[in-house]
Amino acid sequence: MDVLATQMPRFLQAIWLTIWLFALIATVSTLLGLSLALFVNGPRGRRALSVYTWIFRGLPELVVLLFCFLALPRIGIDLGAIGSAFLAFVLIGTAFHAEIFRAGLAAIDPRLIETSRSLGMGRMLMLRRVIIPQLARISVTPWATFLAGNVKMLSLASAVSVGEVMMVTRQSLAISNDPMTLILFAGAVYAAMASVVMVAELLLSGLMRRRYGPINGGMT
Amino acid sequence: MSATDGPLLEVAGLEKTLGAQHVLRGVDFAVNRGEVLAIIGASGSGKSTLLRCLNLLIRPDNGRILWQGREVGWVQNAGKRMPARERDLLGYRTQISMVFQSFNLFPHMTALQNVMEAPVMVMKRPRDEVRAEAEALLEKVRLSHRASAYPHQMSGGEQQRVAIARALAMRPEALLFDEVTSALDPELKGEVLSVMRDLASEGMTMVSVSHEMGFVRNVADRVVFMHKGRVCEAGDPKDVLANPSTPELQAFVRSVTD
Repeated sequence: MDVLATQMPRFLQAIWLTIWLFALIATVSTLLGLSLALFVNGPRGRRALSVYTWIFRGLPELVVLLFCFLALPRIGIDLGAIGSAFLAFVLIGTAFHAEIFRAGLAAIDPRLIETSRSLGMGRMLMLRRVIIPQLARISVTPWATFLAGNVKMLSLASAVSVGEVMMVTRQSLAISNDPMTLILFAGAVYAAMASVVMVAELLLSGLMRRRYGPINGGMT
Repeated sequence: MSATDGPLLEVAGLEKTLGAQHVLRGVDFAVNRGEVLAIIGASGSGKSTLLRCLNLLIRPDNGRILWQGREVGWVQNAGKRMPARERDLLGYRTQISMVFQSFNLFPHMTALQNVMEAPVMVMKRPRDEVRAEAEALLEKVRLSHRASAYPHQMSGGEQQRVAIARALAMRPEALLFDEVTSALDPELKGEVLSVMRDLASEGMTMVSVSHEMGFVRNVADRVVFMHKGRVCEAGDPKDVLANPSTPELQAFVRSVTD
């Protein structure tokens, strides 16, 4: 317990770093993934997007992380520890989000699109008033599921010396003979952060289901 | 927008191929202002495709669509006839709005929001003015008490009446109805048909694809019978349905009057 108490200020700092790094990565990768899903059209663009998402969904996170931290500096792109972790997780997250939203778009009832056109809506208006609200409804669960998993994935960033929770845990382990307490504590921190995302998803999807009914309004 | 002497809407030689299917094989007819035109025909005869060509949700491959005497859907560009861009069709679509078989209300909007959506967002009219008009339209379709209900909380008949109010909210010159009672239980068809009868008696121009022979006979001014992508027979519904001259319409009339 002693080591946990003495290391607590560093842990709190690390928790804070983990939270904002996660929030930043989640925001940027969601917006990029959404934009790719919405605006990459045409056979050539679609194919390029598929190749990108195939690669970055397939590669181990650690490989991408080490590539950004160790290999990129060799070609003159040195982003530092946090910068590399940010880039790596955004590259991976964007690939997943693009696929999540692409699948969500495909699930929107085409009759709602036809109706929007019949009401004289242009593409951007339709996007804002019909497609994005429907997509939010359809994609909130897979989106949050990926993000909840992504929280704990951030522990990998300790491998490239980002001072997040796992990093402090490993440093504390080196000066302590109480691995049980330290590891359980680190686990609880990650589980708590992931739980926040999961509970938020439960509340949000429950609220939308109660208010808007089944997905696509239960159209027959 | 002055009324012209000719028909409000006129189509000539309309052709459309969807995939391998030659759905429309040269369709001609006209709709006068204030007229109720019913389109009947067996499924697969091209009725729904034809209706979607009228407001250019589907682009015909060939033929002409004249709206108040002016051609829509095509533009002259350097002497060549080119399909108009989608964004140049949006204004036209607000003048000829459509009611669908499956209602297609926006699930994330209340009845009132559904009705207000196009006038506020598409036509950029002031929200307060639109709200008053939308409330009046909901009253007209006898749904004032459902203004704040979401589509999933309403019956099919209620949803369809909201959809009619939504179509009317754009103050269109004509309404297109695509089998609007086909998805409804028998006891709910009546409330939708009675709203349509009201509109007809107010002089609204309507083109209705319908399987409701009672509506066709009693409300429509003229009926067009489609068969294999062509207008097979047309005229006053009372005459045409009572004395069909083609074997195709004779067979169709037999099959729907059970």
